[in-house]
Amino acid sequence: MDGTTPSRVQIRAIVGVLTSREALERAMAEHAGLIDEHDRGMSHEPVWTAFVRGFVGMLPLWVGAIPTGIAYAVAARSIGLAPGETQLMSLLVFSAAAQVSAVSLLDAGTPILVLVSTAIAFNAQLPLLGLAITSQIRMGWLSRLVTAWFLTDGAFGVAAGQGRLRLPILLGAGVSMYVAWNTGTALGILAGQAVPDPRRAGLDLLVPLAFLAVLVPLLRRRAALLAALVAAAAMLLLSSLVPNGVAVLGAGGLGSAAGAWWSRRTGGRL
Amino acid sequence: MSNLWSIVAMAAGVYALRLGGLLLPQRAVPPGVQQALRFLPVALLGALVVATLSGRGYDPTTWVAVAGAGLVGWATRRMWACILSGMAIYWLLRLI
Repeated sequence: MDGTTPSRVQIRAIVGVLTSREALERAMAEHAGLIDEHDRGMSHEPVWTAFVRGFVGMLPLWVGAIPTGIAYAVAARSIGLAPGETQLMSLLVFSAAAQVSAVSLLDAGTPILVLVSTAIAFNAQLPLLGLAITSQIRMGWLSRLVTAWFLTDGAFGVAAGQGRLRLPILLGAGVSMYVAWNTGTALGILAGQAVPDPRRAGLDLLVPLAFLAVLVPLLRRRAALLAALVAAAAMLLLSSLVPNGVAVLGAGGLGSAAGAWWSRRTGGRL
Repeated sequence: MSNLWSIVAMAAGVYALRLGGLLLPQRAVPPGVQQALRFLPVALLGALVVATLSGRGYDPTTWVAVAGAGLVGWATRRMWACILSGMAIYWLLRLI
């Protein structure tokens, strides 16, 4: 680990969150090696200071979260979701991909079970973050319940990038993203109300564009590209056979199987 | 407010995942499953781009805008650049 300063790891963790999950995992692995080095001098930091450090460390990710929140809220308006429902979803679900997919599926009158399955499928990686956290921090019941509410890839990436993983830093980063996401949503609701007929203005195009914007930076490796292409092709075929929500889940399953197959074939690299 | 129940149910599902990882014993998820889970978001996004596009009908203006946005997103790797360029191309083409 010689020559690797904490700030470089931190930057890499943030870049990792913005670009690819694999980079985030590399940062996680590097972080694991840094735990002992950065334990000194930081363990007596007051809880509040650590919380603020996490909050501030998340600020670079606000640049991505706020516009995405705006796009989500404007898209929600274009399919007729009430402003209160739009904000409530950001407050309770707190997951960009799940929320934008819900917006596109609610429009098609998708059953609740399919909506929930899609939201779960989009966040299937979250338990892995939880496992990584409990392997490094001892947590009581209350802190598990609270931490879970604010847990995202971004918060973990930022907290892991700041030396020894500590609960206040993780919470600070998580709360920071929560504030950003809900502020973006509120701004989008205000912007959406200024447009009388969003669909006529073509604002419903924001939904596929928001998916594309999240997807494209993740396509660094061939396995990821293959997963996305197989899913897209499967979607074209399945959408004429089964309801939209079911088709999305089926296509997602086929795509991720294709990605995992390719990654195994090429020796475990993603 | 029939959407309310959908929202609450989704929230419960996602929160269960967040909490689940914090409650599970270590090594509860086998590596093979972890690997497949990694590709699930990318695959779902690919499917949803197609689903939401075909939901709007096959209008060439849309496809040009989306292709342009994809290229800008690829080149800049910035989410906002991808979204803004897509909307800009779409509105410009509609003006012509």
